[in-house]
Amino acid sequence: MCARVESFVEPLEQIKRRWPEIAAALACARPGRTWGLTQTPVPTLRVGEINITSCYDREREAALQASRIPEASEEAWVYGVALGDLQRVLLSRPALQRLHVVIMSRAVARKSFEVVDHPWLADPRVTLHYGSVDNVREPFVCAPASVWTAERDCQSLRDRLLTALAAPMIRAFEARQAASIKRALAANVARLAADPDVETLQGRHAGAECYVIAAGPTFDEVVEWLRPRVAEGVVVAVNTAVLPLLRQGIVPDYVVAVDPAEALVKHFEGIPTPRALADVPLVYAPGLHPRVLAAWPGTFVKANLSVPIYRELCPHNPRGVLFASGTVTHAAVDLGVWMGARRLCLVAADFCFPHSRSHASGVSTALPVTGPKIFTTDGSGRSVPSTLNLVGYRDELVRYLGRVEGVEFVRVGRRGAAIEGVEFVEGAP
Amino acid sequence: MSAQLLRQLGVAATQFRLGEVSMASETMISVVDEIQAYLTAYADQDRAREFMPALEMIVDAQQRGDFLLVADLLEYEVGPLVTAASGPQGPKSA
Repeated sequence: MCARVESFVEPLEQIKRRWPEIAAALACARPGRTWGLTQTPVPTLRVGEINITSCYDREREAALQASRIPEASEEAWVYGVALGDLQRVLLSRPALQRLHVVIMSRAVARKSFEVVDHPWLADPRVTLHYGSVDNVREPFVCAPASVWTAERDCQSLRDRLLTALAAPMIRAFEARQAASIKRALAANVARLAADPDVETLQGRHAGAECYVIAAGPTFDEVVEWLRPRVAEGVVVAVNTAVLPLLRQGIVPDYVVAVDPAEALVKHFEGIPTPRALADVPLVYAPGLHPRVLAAWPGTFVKANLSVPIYRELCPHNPRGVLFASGTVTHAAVDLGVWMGARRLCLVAADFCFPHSRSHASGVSTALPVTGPKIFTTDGSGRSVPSTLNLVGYRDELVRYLGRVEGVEFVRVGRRGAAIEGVEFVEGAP
Repeated sequence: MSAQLLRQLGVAATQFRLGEVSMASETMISVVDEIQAYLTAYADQDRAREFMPALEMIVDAQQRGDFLLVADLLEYEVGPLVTAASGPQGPKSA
């Protein structure tokens, strides 16, 4: 039982009457961050290092946010409590009959209830939710800073919300990719007619231990652990990991590349020992840029991908289809499963930026870790910066792994983002 | 150019306020380009210096993920500076 906070009065009393379970959950929330009201043109609540609303014009901001909900809508979902401005604007609409407000962080909501009045809590049209909503319900609007400060249990919902908000941008990116893929398919016609299909690899390594190696920052921490083990297993590397592996004297058995970007060629330029790769197949998506294919010094195996653009443009060639949903790591894992791995070890598949780095040392496409980040937890339960894309790929991988039977999935690289259902190899870094 | 810049500032601020951070961050790339071009083309050194505190605060706020403050600074600090710089005296080249 936790102590009651003295200043925690009217809003909690209202919540206690209407939603006693939520009141109990709020009363036990741990602050965990620094708090305060800003001394700005309009005061707002500051949580850690961010303002929870505008500190110049809260009313105008709330009106803008509310405009996401059609005026005639009878129902609306608000994710995040903020300071209640958005709720007030929506409830001023005569058409609105049901307003669902979802708490994304008990600590932030509780502090907000402490510092400002929340008369919307008394409105009979309001239903307050905590912990019972795990999907994006329409029509919805976010009190964005309350979503960015989501507590751990609400981070999966946070990611879905942010993905939904980014949908127009994702569609634009996919449209640009589609144009590149179409050009590459035309240029790769002869190769696609001649190269063996990934179908031919089915069951090739039945019962094997397979290492799927990405080029996340934890690569540098796990490579010494990896070195003596790879000789006994099958090594599937994503394109980004080729140079880091070769620099460590490890030659992969297979390399996977799926991204249609021409920039991938950087991963195959300047390979120190190209002859070592002479018999190593590049398992490639049919829309891979021709320059990337030309730069590969080994052999080739074509593979289709489980994405709409390939289903539309080349549904029958290649015949073998690998799972992919945004990252080459998906296809590399599915290749290991396809070839019959009994145990599949994920290496440096980090989906985050441990040590504020994007990749292993020496990866030519490494980026400075700037721009908008979200936080997720690493394999040891620590908070670690990531991006919406990366946690989305991680979540897609989790869903894929849930569909695979008969394969044990493990991993190394404890500073990587936690992957539900995948345990760390005991004693490994 | 100032009308275009003010429009871009508004777009970025709106995207941040709606939680569309990915899109807002893309917009910010063009906002920064527009501001640089604007200062180069129209503002004298004194005027350019007036922009610096707000721009530095924007960079800091963006780095720590304080995106609603970024929106506020774009709308309520940088916006008025652009408007003032294009005011009665007009831009320097006018």
